[in-house]
Amino acid sequence: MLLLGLTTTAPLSVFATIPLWPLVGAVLTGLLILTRRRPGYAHGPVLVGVALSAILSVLLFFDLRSLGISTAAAHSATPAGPGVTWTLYHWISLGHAATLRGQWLPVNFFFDALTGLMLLFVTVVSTIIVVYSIGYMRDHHGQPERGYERFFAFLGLFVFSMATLVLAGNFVLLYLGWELVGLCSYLLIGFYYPRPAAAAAAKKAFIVNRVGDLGFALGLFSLYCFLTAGADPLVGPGENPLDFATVFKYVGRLEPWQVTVVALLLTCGAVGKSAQFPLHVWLPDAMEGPTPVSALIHAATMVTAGVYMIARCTPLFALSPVALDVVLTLGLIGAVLAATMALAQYDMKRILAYSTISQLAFMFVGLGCRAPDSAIFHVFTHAWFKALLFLGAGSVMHAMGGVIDLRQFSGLRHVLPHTARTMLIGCLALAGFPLLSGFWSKDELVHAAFARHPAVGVLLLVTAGLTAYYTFRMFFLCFHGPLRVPDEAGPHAHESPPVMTVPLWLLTLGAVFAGCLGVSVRPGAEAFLGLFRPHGFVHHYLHASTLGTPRHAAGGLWIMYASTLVALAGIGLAWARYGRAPVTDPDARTLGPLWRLWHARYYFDELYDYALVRPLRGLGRLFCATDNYGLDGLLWAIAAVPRGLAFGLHFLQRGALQTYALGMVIGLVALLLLWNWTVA
Amino acid sequence: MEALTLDLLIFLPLAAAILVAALPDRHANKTPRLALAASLGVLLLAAGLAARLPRAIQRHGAGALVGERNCAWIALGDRSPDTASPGGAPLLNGFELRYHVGVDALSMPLILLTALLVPLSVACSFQAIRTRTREYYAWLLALTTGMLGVFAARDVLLFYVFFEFTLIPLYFLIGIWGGPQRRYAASKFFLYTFAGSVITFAGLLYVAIRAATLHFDSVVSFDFQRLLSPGALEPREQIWLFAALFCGFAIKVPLFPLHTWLPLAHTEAPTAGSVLLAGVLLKLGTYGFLRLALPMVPEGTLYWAGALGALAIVGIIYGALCCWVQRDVKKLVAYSSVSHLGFCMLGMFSLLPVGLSGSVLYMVNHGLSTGALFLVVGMLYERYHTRDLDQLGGLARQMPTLAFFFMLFVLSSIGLPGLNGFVSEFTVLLAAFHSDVLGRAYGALGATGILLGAVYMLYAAGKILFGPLRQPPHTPDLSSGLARDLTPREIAILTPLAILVVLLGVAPRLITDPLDPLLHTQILARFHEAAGPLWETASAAGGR
Repeated sequence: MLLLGLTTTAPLSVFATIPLWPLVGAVLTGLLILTRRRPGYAHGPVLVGVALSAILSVLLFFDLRSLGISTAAAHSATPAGPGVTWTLYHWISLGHAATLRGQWLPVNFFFDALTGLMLLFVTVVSTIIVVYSIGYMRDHHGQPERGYERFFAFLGLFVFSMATLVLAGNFVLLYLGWELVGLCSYLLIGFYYPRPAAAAAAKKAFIVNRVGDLGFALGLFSLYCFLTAGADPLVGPGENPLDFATVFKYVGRLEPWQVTVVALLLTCGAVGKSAQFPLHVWLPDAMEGPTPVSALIHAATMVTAGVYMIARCTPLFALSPVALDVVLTLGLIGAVLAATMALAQYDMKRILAYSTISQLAFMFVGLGCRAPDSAIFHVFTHAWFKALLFLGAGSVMHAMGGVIDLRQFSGLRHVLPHTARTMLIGCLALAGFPLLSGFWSKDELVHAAFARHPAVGVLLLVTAGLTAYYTFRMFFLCFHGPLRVPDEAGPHAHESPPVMTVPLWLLTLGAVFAGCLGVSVRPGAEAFLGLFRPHGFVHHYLHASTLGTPRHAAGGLWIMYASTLVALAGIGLAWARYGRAPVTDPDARTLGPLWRLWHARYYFDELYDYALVRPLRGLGRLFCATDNYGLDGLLWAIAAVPRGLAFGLHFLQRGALQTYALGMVIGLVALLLLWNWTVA
Repeated sequence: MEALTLDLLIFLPLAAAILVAALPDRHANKTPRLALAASLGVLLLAAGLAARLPRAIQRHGAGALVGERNCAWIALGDRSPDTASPGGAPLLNGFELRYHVGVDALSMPLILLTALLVPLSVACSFQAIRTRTREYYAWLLALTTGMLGVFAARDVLLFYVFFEFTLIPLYFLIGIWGGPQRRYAASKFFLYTFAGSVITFAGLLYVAIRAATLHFDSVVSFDFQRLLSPGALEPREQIWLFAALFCGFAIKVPLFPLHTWLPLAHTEAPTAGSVLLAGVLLKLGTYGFLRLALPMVPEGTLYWAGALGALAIVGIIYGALCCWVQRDVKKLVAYSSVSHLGFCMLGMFSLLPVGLSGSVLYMVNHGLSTGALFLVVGMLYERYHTRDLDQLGGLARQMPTLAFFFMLFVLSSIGLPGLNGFVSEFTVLLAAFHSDVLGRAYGALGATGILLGAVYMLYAAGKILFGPLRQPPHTPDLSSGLARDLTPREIAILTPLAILVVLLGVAPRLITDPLDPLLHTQILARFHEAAGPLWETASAAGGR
């Protein structure tokens, strides 16, 4: 690459523009909407913007060390371990008080190895998916679909938000990115807004996310409180209290309970964004959005933000065993629940969505086992193969005229050869087939789990087996058996155009080789197959980040063989039961009520509806009635006092002379009597 | 020169109002344009004053005034020295009401907000108001004078005069050009707020008299200078005085449970009325608290802060849940003000620098986003003649431009980071959480508003914009020259608000930078000096 020559001189301010370009692209595309035409080139600005930031991110990835990330700080930055803060401007004032001199909520970016790795796959996968969308968002005649430019504008906005989230140098900017990606997710899930299901899913996604965000916000508030409270606050002048650099510097001096409170509240946010139990309900519904969106936002990038955030806060979480155990437990529950739910679905995208939840839960387990680098490595590999799987599902959907129900088609390997081959590789990677990317990262997580507690490890292994099973159930139902095509697909269903298949193959490369970043090849008896050793380059690279230097349990070679066996067993079982794509589901028969429970997704939606939504709406009605009758009634009663008085008094002045005369006589008599009585 | 600008700013609308009202019949069709020109003049003047503020602050310190004019208005009695009573304390011998106006960093944002919203609400009435147009615009302009006067006043009695004066134009605006229940709404609004502010007036009088005695002055002066540090008022007095001030201001805010006038008045008022009511008039209450109640009776404030915080939180949650079950979208937006102003009060009564500045920011942001939402709802109503959420749906496809603006303002209103609402919401909650006076429970409960806000706003937006198309028969009604989507005039109305919503989201310091030192020296300092011991112990206890 030509640009590589320039890298050593590129300052941080150049890399700080990584979020800017997609935003510029999004705004330009947005302005195209004003022309009221539907230009086929509307993707141009966004594609250029995202590609530009992808190039910058690749450069940044290789350039971090020369920027001095691994050593001390350069520029006007505060050192926070290995990492550099680059401040753009002071965003929000904390008020003007002696104790707050020089403290702000700034817009600043934090560069370390974790940023570099996250930005690398976020922007590169985004670019690939933007290219794919150029083909996907068109009808059979190659004409742009309705809302084409809106779609790309939102995609650009999303990449901007995600890059901001990853680059953020303080919690408030992280929160900004966090909410903005949520907004983009909302807008893109609701892309087909005339469909009620899409509109409802969008709203649900935003609101469930906000439940988590509420916890996140409270976490920030408490963090701020703990760091700045008292006559002699921890944070000194000139240090912004919510900067990563400041927080991680002083976090060791907080009380343990304070750390735990903050960590648990932050976990709330992560659980919402990463769709973990008990806030996982929004992700399957989010599949109402266009498939590239599911691939990019709801599989590869946005949903990993929760994992990223906890990993970023490793210095904080490491101090709170309680919070780590909570993360671990939530991860375990989520992994098993999601995997079982995925077993009993027919919607291809929903199966993938549950598998995303399950895989994210794996990462949570890794975080909970003090292996954040392994979790991040899984984030990295997962992004490639899960994006691949979703795009493959999108390709199927594109060919099937929008149908995605596995009961409606089978045997598609004959009509969609590229899609079938790439999907096979993606499925193998997800199932943890040896030597593919998913295998390496999942193995590290299982290893860390065994080091934490054997039971945790066993649970993960079992879930890994389930993963292999449901993944290949889906694959066989879709691509094997006799060719069946739904009516919606038209007479000749065909493979997608190159603009879609090339991205598929690119992602396939990622699905195969992304794992290599974490493996070193050195022959030896203690290496897998006598050749491969885990904990390779990525882990050394990540040492130059807030993750610090995690300890790796030695040994565990047998785990790799065990997980190979488990994956193969899952695939084999799926082949035995679904290899011929039977029309009636054998599992539904065998498992009976359990299967129906899984199929109904454990009735979480109904539970939340009855336990939360309805009571709250009822309360709203009650409040409204209180307003209309209670408070206004009280007001009426107060107003009734003068009105009653007036009513009583108005009898005295009705203009009837007789009454007045009578009154005068009575008064006179009374006065006379009074006079008589007082005188006498 | 500056003083003249301010005089013009305040009285130009009134002069224009008289002119408009007196316009002969044959020129009646020029009324809207004349009114718009006058209101744009107001905006220009306000911008001119704002441009001078930074330099004035540089030169004269945090509390610098621009456009100050201080002249005698009404004076009764004299300052003759022989009226001293035998004990030495002077007998009160008269009172002095001065025309003292000036704009400082606290009133500037609100004046700018008013000056911005008035032209927009004039412009949004062009099509909607067809009857008695001259009177309509005259009342609207007269209202402007009232609102600007409140924010510019530096004399408590002058403040009160303007404060009450705003009621009259609004009474007519709601009562004549309002919806079906307009008379009831207008009277309820008028009586409710008037009843409250009379008590406030009594409180203000009491403070003025006490201040005169404490300063050994025989003439009762109402100047801010004097009354904002009235001397050593007894704690008991302060507690009662705060309660008196509370009556008028809390109704205006409106604080739960004194809010019941608001949904009705907002719903029944014409669009311009709702915009100004929500955008500016509610801020008279919060401004009153911040400008008068807090510095005047700091110990009373400290005594009641917890209670007010609690009411604010109840308002946040109660208002939000009420919103969620509304069918009338205008009523929904109206109830959202109850919830939002709860945030504003929560920040104010945290009595922290960050809370106070967040609270002022909240006033401005709420004015922008809620005003904008009322404008959008008005534009919908002009086309569909209904505001029923069950009768409208899927309009995004028909009206993409409106959908864009609606979503933007909804997002601003629910505090999406990057837009204006977030900054104020975040700082206010941070302050409540951090405050020694309120505390974590307040912050945590208030924060549920983040969630509930999203619930009801997205509920409304989803119903109107998304889903299959639903519209009443024979609509949209385009007979009055409207287009199916927004017309250029309507886009021109919403665009400045949209720009500000983004601008104040990324650069809130445009407002807070001049403001923070002022809040510190004029308001917070009062808590340190007047309530010193109490304050110190409180912060020490909270800090541990």
